[in-house]
Amino acid sequence: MAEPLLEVTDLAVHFPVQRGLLRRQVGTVKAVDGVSFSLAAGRTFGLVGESGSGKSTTARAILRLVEITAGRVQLAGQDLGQLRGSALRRARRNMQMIFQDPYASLDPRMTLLDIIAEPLRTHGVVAGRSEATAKVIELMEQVGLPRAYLRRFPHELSGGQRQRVGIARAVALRPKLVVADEPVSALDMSIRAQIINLLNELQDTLGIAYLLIAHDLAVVRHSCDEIGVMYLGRIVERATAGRLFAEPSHPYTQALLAAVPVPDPVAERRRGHVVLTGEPPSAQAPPAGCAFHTRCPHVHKACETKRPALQKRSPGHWVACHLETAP
Amino acid sequence: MALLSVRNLQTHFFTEAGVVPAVDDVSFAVDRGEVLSIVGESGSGKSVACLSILGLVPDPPGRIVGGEILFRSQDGHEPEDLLEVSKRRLQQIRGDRIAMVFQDPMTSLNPYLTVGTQLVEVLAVHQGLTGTAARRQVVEMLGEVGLPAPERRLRDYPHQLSGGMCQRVMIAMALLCQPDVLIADEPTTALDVTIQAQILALIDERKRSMGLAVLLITHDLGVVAKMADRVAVMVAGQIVEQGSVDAVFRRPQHPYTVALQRSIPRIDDPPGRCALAAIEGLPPATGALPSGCPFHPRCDLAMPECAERRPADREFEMTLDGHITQHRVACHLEDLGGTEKRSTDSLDEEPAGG
Repeated sequence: MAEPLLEVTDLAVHFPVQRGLLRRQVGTVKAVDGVSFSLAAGRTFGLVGESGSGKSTTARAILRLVEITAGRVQLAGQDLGQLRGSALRRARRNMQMIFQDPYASLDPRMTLLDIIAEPLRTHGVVAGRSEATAKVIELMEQVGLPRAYLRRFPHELSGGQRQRVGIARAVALRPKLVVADEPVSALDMSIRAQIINLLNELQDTLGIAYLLIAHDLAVVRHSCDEIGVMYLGRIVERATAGRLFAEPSHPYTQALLAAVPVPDPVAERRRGHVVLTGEPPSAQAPPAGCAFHTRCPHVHKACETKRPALQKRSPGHWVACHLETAP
Repeated sequence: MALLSVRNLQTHFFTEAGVVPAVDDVSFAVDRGEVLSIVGESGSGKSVACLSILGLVPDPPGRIVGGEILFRSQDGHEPEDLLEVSKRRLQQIRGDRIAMVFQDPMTSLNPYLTVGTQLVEVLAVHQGLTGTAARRQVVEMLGEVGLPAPERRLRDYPHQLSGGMCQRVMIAMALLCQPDVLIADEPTTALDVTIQAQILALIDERKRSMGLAVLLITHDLGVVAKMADRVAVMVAGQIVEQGSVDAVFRRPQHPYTVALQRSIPRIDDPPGRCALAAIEGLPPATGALPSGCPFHPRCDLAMPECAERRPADREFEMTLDGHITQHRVACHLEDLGGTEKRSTDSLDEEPAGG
């Protein structure tokens, strides 16, 4: 395979926990703790996991929206962690974001023209007003918004249309990488398919690589080439989409897949009811050994003391579980 | 007659821009030990229909302008029309015989009061139970819904609990008086799938062991397939299709139900990326409802008359796996066939599952 576009190596993001008047540090939340993966140009990598697993923090750290504690993030061979000031600004042209909530992520006082033109102006891509307008119209057509909406405000649009605006803004600079954090979970079910199709079309025509964060495993399966399953700040299993769903190997991945109901009453009745009990432990005091051992149905002695490393199971399939290495 | 039956319900909102028929002539019923799932997009009126049952529609601007809501609080007794009973009587029923769980547990609990205070209050109001006896019952119920260390949780405030735990508290509160009917409005939408599975298992267990009747409002077809006995599909204030869960999923009759099922990606799809069969267009905006059939602007099969006339409900029997189920659909397409009661044998010859 060619040089990856995005290479994340041992990424860690720790947040201090402060208490009292003097903001004394009383602990550390290891939101992301040693995450590695790579993403080729024009491909999609999915991050899944429960809330609090660190998937959004991983994405934000890659975009340098939160500070990296340790590890390295390279985009097209450039170490993003080392960039400051104008160099970082230039790098940001190549990495954009689509947000979950199309209601909160658009300025209600700006017209669609201003919203979509803003990145073009900020990065000096367009010279004058007429050039900006022409470019915005082109983008609006690309994402399926009628040009008559040019001077409308976000409140005049439906949720799906707003998400199209967010997408137009994200692809305006022709970025190499777009991070999409739950891009369809706030939308109505009949609209989700439209937006998923649009994201896939844009990938095919513009060659964008996506880092897709979603808790809807069906969406992830449909859109991703490779998937990482996160639990308490770490990737516990990583595989191509086909392999992950055919041979889920980490007990957490298995539990997660078993918990997703299938829209088919006959298949539902046939499925086993493996209900994962309990809630994820606090990231501030993660369990020793394998972080999943407190909820794992296959737990044994080694799991309580020794943390399993991510190991190759088969080509393109990595798992962090003692069961894999046990004789 | 069923335990709870809603007949020809009409709930309208009177706004400056005009009258919005949020619920427009809707009928459904739910019986003991049964889950009826109401499916629809935001703005389809599914939540308003359920709020109407408990008299919780904000007035103004909302008002129930027609229909009846018949509830049989005791077997053998005559049903009462909840739209006609006194405020006092409705308050007795609400929370005691018919309980409700809302989507967002974080905003449904009072942040100023401990979990214990809020739960004990329910027993005090409805059963006059206070003190240690009430506390004992609350602890027992919290244990039943799977909250760890329930004794200790009584002193916690809602912000000290996770979303999943708050939803367990809400469900415990709803089940405290052992209601006949539970109305659950998107009870797991805000939760992770693993917690969702636990909450759904809990509701299912209550249905089986106590004969709880459940009105489950959701937009997740997976949840519907897992939980429902019967399904009602809503579009723009109207129920367009209603039938057994197997019939609705395996022999959907309304173009909207068919399109919806085709459009969603599934975890058990064959691998590989392909374009999803999206429903083009947008759900109708409230206040600008289409004439005729509410789905006609987005329907691939729309005919001229669909824009002119609202299709009437047609009821017929459907045979599935040897069982006969009642089915109801509102679509002009089948009308063209002419016969009121259609032959169902031919349906079973199609390969199951598609």
